[in-house]
Amino acid sequence: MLWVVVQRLLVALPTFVGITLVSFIGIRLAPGDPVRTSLDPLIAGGPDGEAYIALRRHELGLDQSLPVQYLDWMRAVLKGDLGYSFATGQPVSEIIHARLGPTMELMATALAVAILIGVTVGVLTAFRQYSVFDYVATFASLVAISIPQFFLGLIAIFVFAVTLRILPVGGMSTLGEPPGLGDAVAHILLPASILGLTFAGPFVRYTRASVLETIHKEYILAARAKGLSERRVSFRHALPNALLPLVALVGLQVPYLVAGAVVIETVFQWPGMGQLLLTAFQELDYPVLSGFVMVLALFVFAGLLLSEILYGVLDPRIRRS
Amino acid sequence: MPRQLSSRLRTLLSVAALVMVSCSSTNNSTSQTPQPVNGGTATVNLYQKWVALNPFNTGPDNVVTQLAYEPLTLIAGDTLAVISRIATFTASPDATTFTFKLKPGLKWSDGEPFTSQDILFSYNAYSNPKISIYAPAFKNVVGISDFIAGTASSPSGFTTPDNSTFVIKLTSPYAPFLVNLSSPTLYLLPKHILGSTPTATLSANSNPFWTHPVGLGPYKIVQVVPDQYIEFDKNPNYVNPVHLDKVFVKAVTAAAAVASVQSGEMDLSPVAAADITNLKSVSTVTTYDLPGTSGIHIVVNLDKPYFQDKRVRQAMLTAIDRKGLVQSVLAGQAVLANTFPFGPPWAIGSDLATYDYNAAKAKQLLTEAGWDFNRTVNLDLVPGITDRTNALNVVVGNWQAIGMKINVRLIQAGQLLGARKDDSFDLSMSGTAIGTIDPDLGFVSLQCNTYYKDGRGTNFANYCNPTVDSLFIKARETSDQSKRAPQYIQATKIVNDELPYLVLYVPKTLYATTNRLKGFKPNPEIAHTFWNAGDWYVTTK
Repeated sequence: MLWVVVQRLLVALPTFVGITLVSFIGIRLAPGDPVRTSLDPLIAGGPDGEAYIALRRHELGLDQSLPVQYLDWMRAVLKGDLGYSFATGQPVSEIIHARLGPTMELMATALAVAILIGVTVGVLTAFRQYSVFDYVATFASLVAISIPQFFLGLIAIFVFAVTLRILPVGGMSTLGEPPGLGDAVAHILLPASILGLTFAGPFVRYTRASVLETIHKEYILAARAKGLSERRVSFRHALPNALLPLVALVGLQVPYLVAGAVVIETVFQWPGMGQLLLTAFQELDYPVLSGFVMVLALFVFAGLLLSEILYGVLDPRIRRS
Repeated sequence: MPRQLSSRLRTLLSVAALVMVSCSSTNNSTSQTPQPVNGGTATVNLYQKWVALNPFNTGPDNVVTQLAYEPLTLIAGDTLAVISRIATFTASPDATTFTFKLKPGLKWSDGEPFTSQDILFSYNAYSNPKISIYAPAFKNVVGISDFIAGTASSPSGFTTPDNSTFVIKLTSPYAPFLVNLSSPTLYLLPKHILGSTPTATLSANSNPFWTHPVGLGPYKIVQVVPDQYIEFDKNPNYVNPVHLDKVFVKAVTAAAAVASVQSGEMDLSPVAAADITNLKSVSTVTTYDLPGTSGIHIVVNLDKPYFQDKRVRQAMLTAIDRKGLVQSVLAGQAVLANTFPFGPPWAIGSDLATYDYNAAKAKQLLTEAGWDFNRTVNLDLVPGITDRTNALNVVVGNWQAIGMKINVRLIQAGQLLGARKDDSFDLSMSGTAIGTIDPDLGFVSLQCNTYYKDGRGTNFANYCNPTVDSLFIKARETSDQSKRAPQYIQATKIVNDELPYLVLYVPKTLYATTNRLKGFKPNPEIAHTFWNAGDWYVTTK
């Protein structure tokens, strides 16, 4: 197992370098100039505008060639320095660190919601195949996958915050109020539920397919033939085997969760990585964008690695192979 | 029953009073002004995210710093006049000397006394072009060139006869000087703290003072949580009593702001035209709409020979259905302007041509002017603001309807200014300060020697009319409004005829507040949204 982890890490390293290189170049090829974007147009176009722009470009290292810029950046990254934000001058690592917690909190809660709903509904639909519940749940999961998250988010705000006034419009806490669990739950409920609901769809469909496949296996038939109760057959024999592939699915959902978080965080003013990404794009804040992509890549690797390890731990066949 | 009657009578009287008092702004607030309540918290929305709480910055940074700092002079939202809360001031009849007498007992938020030395320190910083973009406001101050050249530590035109008096002397009469000093707002800085900061780093965003400043404003910054909020506590040393205990400032999207005001989580936010109609029907919300101070116009490059006949420009404006445009694009939340600058009312005549929509007349004018209908002209716009893009579509449609060929170029702000700089553009659409506060603010866009292509000002159209110049210059020579008015009325009449800028519309400035927030006085200039934040209070905590 340890060898598998080492193997994966060795493969991950060049992939990781490749991702940083492609993203570094891609970000800089995007239309727009970060120096001009941050300047008052009248100053940029004024008598000293061009001289000021040249000075600022030099200060930010943007007057260097792209390979030199990349190598400088990579050298600093290896020393643990992600650079400084063009817009605010703050260290990028500090900026990302401050937003990582809220994003992790949102993603973890959303994932828990997705798994809870997805697995429960998926199992029930499989055991009641072709029932009304099965049709309704399958259709609902398709709807959840298809409806844009921002739309669901806005609808939820309109219903629960504006009309019913039982949940806040956004943010992580009520300003001016002492922090409390109830307040925190009230604030995370809508964003995590919307994000979780849209991700529950795939879990419903995967779970349903996997359970259906498993309950028609010969060892299930053998278990029934031994005279075991249907409850024991389902919970002891069918479900543990059927749910195993979902572990891999969780890891694969991480990048999509991050992408979903970008949208949901914007709609609900959740102060996480998603909002940071949006702002950094608007301001063409290259160091923040590069830092973000790097952290995202780490997330995805960690997610995949974790699911692989878990898979190995849970399935003796994988562990032995 | 008598109680009900009495209540109805009071309501009727209140409504009558409201109708009499309020003519430019409409809101559904009650007209009664109860005694301010002390205590409580208000949450307000900034129209755009802040970068650093640095008073040297423009945009949202300059707006939000108003809570922590106080300027020497500012534009009052209700009267649009220059006022000062910390001093009385007088101008000499020839508008060359401005004397400020400080109110006694003023203190910084750290308790240190505030003196005229602090004003001198602040204005030295703001008039230094090496660190301040506001330096042009001081170009007429005596001794400014020696100061800029580094041969003087301060312009000799700034003097402090004593600790409570500050005097500014100008080289030539300039009546609108105080307006230039007030918009954008120049916040006073404490010499006892920043006096030892090297000049080169004073205005940098990285100056640690900005996150925990000492100011003269109504509130003190408690903490700045990036991308989330700024927390302010009331400043007990403010010149007037402050009612609120705390103010939180957020910068959220327009949709979130509208929802938050409706749900009561946010007490104040600027709002878009598309949202105002809906908000007006919400009983828990008060809305404000008042004529804005910025217009949307199309700059015509008068260096291009084919635009030099004024009948071409008149035809182009006549061809646009501006009333329809305002209804369809801005839900009616804008006014039409037919000249530039457009305001204040005392400076604009009543006999201006209105250029009502008339496609047939426009086509006839173009034909008379010898317009080449095979010519294609470029129209530049920086995309991103929905209202402007929609307005552009209407304009292009109207012009094509009279046979003009238009090539729309959606370009970056830098490219748009670059095309104006190298004089290669034909027409470009942008926003502009319209001169509502003082007509002189528009002069820099009309004067013969302020061509943008030469880096001297914002005369993007390359317009030059010596008569207009002489009228504006003459109006600067006196601070007597009644003597200034005739010059502006004549000048704007000429511009109304010659149309170097085709002003499409002036969007209204729109705000929404919760009914619990009282004392808020809307300012037509969104940059001064927080101008009277010290007077705000909430009726429920």
